Parts: sequence; structure tokens; C-alpha cells
Amino acid sequence: MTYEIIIVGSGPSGVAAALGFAENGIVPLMLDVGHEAPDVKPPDINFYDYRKTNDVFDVMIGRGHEALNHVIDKKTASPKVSSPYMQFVTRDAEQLSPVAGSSAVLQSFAKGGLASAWGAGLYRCIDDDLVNLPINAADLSPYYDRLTREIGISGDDDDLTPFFGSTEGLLKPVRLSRKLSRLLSVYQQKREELNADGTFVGRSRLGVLTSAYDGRYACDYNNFEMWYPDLQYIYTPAFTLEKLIREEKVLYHKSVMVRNWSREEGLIVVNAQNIKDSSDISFKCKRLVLAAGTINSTRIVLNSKKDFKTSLPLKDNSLVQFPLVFPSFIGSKLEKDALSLANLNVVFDLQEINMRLQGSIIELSSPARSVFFDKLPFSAKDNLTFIRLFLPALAVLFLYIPSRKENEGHIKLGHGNELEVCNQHGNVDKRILKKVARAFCKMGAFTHPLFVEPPEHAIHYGGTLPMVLNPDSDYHCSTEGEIFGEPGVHVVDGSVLSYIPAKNLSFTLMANAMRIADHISKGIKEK
Amino acid sequence: MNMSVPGNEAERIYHAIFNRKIPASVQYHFEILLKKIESRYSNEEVSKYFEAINKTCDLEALEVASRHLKKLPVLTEKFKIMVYLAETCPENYRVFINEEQGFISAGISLISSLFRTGYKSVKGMAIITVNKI
Repeated sequence: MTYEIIIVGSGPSGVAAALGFAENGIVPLMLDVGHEAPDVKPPDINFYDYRKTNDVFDVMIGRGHEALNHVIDKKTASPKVSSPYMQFVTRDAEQLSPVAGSSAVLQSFAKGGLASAWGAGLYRCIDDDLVNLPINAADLSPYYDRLTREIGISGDDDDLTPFFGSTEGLLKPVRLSRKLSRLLSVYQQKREELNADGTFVGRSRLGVLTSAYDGRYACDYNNFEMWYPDLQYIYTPAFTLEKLIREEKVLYHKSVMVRNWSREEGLIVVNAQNIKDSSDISFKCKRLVLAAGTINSTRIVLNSKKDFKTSLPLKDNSLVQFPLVFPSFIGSKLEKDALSLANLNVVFDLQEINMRLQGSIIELSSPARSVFFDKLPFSAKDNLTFIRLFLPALAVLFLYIPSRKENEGHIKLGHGNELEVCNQHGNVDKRILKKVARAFCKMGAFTHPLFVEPPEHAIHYGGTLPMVLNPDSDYHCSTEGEIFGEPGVHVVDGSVLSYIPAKNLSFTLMANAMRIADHISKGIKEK
Repeated sequence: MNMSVPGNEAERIYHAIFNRKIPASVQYHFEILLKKIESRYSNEEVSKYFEAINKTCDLEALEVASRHLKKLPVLTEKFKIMVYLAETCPENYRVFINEEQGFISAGISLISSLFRTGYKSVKGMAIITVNKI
């Protein structure tokens, strides 16, 4: 059987592409490993109230001690993907897509991809964010609008609108925690001074429902974000995928790990492995759409070209974490019903170094308190006293630093199918650290460059197969994501971005994937 | 200071952190994890750990000092894992979660904790020095 379109991967880009094809009446085949979330539902009360009378070993540690295996093996992973019910998100990644080298790389083979454990930040890019790309924000605009309707995005029209784009179709923003509500109110009082200094604060745009939407319930602020998958109020691409499968608008073939493609009689042959029995399996198609995530799509491309020599650029926006202390909240009750995702965003327009940074301010109500135990310098009992009395006064700023030439990494295929990945993050300019500390101090939240953890790898990779206006290399893509010299093979994930701005890019990748799917569909219809 | 110390390893560590008797479920899981923790360290480090904990009753002091001096990583790791396990028990809920409002009392508790940590660190360093750990 020959398929018109095969999509590889079910993450945000793959699902958005499938939606784009579906809306043009084309039914693609989606190939995916597709690990599924366990069938667990949270209790119907606040997690903390539940914990007062119930042992939560299964939820926080897991019967196989899953959460602790990460701690004992000293693996760096976000607390969310370490929690027992969320481990399906990164299951088998090391075996299915081996990576050598010093860099920790987060990959997912779950249905819905890494977005199954995402923070659901969904931000439009403006033209300034799309540097070096042959498309602009207006090209993506109709797809942002369509996806906003599909997802249900909460947010507000505020000082960040110039950086986050149109507010059309947004649901009302999520309820702010008390601390962050205080911060926003101080910002509003000192707005003129802060804006003049290049600091802007506003509400986050999240795929979190603040009212019932499309058959899904609104956020209940019960604090299970860190522990349970498929909470209906947090959008994941798996929701759209399930709907498309149900409506027979996509054919979904799981347990398939795509290795490469070859060509046969004018058709593209997708060579894969059935991960259940390790047997080889192949599929024929006219067009192949790679949406397996930057790391894995790059592997598929290099593998198909049998290229063990080329080292491709790898970009990401590294992440710097600033603890933010709100002194008047020391000794306050833990806010058990605060949403443990980004509540606010901040943009720093740093004219002096010609850089725009964006960060998310996250509440810390959901993670296990034990996570903080070995980060504190006191004796065991005193650490627990600090956890109990000091943590309610703490939030964290995740500040993204845009990709730059000097922190560009590289990626190369080794002969054993291992990818050699090298990321470089370097140090953060001290002027940035001081500027951030000063701005938050004015808003009543204290941080200090000394407490900032060195930049870590982010999860927004890209740049390996850049989209350019006039492709002229084997690893360039056209405006439609088609790889130079590989007719019919398109890339729709982060690989095509030649610059990673200081922003969560998931929404832009989805809009771009949908744009490319739309273009391909129109081409097919014209034929 | 070579003294006989009551209780098994799990009981002693739990008592050093929480000042109470270890719940059966925590003890069960901790003992399963002990081998895994130890397998991440050399035999020499593990023996040094057992030798050290048998020389003192005050594991809390030994742990904070060894954490600061980067000695006895096995002890630090076991403390950490014990805290993770203990947090899941309802009886420890109030150890981790503050449910009472009180800026001044919290300030006093935190300042006394700083002094207490100072005392424990000095005591732990003395234990390490005297026993040549």
C-alpha cells in the first residue's frame, strides 16, 4: 500500500501537521513509538488535603521506586518527568535514540511527545523572534489563530502583548498565586520606571483551561500538575491526536521506530523497526513529513544519507534558574491551591547588549519538598525547618537565553547509530544577572547572582536543518520544510529554526507545521 | 568514641532526621534501596561509611559535616533517600508543609536553626577529626 503522506512523530509538530492535513481532507499515516500514559486518575480533592490522611508512595515514589532511581543514578531530569506516573514520557529514550557525548539530551517517545509533560507555555513569535527565517509572523498568524481555537489558551492583553502577539481567542488568564499577585501589583505601581529600564511583566499564555472547553474541564487548582498525566485542563497534543484518530482523520501506527528512508520506483520507503518484536518493517509513501523532534529527525536524515562525517549545528535557548524570595511570605501557609506552572512572564529588553530575554515565573507548590533537601546547606532537621517555613516564600524564574553563535553546539552521527551531541552553554553575562536581580528587587522579590544555577541545556533544540530562502546545501530546507535534494521529504519540527529566541517555541513549531501541511495539501490538490 | 549504637541503620537514620520511630513501610522500602545506593560507590567508601556511623550516636552532626567536607557521600545519599521516602507518609505531612501563619515565630525558628546547624557542623567536624574519618 502506498500512502499519500507519512508523518513521523506525534509531538506538537506532528499533531499540528496532521491537523493541517485533516482540514484539507487528506488522511496521513502517523508512525510513532507512542508510549501511552498509565491509566490513573487523581483523587477529586486537593493533593495536599489528600496527603494528610493518605500514603502517597505510589504517586510520589512508585512501586518500582521509579522516582528514586533518577535520584540514585544522579540523572538530571525535571521533577515532572521523574515522577512515577509521568515516566512514560521519557521511557526507552536512551535505548531507542542513543546519544553519546557529554550533553544530557531530553527525548520522548510518548504519544504526544515531550509535550505530555510540558509546562504548556504557548507563545506566538513576533518578527523579531524569527530572525534569519524566510517566513514572518504574518505567515504564521492564521495557524496561530486556528491552533488557539483547537487548544484553548489562557492569557491576557497586557504589557507583554507586543512580545507575545495577538490576544485573539484567549481564555481569561489563570488565577495568580498570592505571591505572584503581589509581584504583579508592585510592577503595576512602578511600571513606568521598570518599563524605562526595559523590564516588562504580564500574564503567561498557557494551554491551561480556565473554563470548560471542547469537552475538557477547567483547571481545579488541585495541584496534581507534577504527578498525573492527561489532566484535561492542561492541553497536550495527544488530545488532538486522539480526536483525529477517533474521527478517522489520521491513521495511527504505534510501536514503530523510524530509522531512515530510501527510494524505490519514485516512491519514498520509510524503513522502521517494530519495537515489540524488533522486526524490520517498511511503509511506502509519496511524501514524508519528519516531526520526530530535532534530535531524532536529524538522526533520521543523517542515517538516510549514511553521513557519518557531517557535523550539523545544534542550537538551543539555554535556561538559567533564579530563585526568587518574597520575604513577607516567610512562615506563611503553603498555598496549596496555586497553579504550579508559569503564572507570570517577564521580558527584559537589554539595549546595552542588544538582547531580549524572556522568562517564566513559576510557583513551587507542586514538586516534592524533598527535592529541595539536598539543595539546602543546613543540618537534616534544620533543612526540614527551612523547607517548611521558607519554601512558601519561594518562586523560581526560568530565564531563557537566546541561541548565539558562541554557544552553538553540534550533532553528528556515529557508526553505531549513536548521535554525538555536544552542547555549549558557557557563562551568562554578569550584566544579565545583575539586571535581573535589580529588577526583581524593585518588585519586592529578592534574588542574587550567587544563587543562580549555571545554565543548563534547555529542551528547545533546533537549527540542524535550517529553513532558508534559497537552499543550497544537503542540510538546508526550503520555506516548505523540504530538504534540499530530497523531493517529498519535509521537516516540520524545531530542526528548521536557524535561531532559537528566548521563548518557548512549541506554539510556533505547531503553527509552522500546520502551515507546511497546508502548503503540501494545496500542492496535492492542484495535481 | 567507639560506642555501641542501638537500632539498625534505617532506624538510626530516620531517627536522626525525624526524631521518631521509623514507619514500617518506610523501613521496608529503604532497606530495598540500600543495596542500590551502595552499589553506586566503591567498597572502600561503603566500608568507611559503616565504620563512621558505628563511631557516633549523632548521625545528623556527622552528615552535615561530611556534606560540607565532601566526605562520606554514602551517608549523605542515604539521608536524602530517607527524606524522599518519609515525605510520602501522612504522619510526616506537617514536617514538610506549613499550615500555620506566623512570620515572627518562623523567623525565630529559622534563626535558631542557623545556630543549631552551626553547632551540629562543629560537632560533626570534631567527630570526623577525632575518629580520623
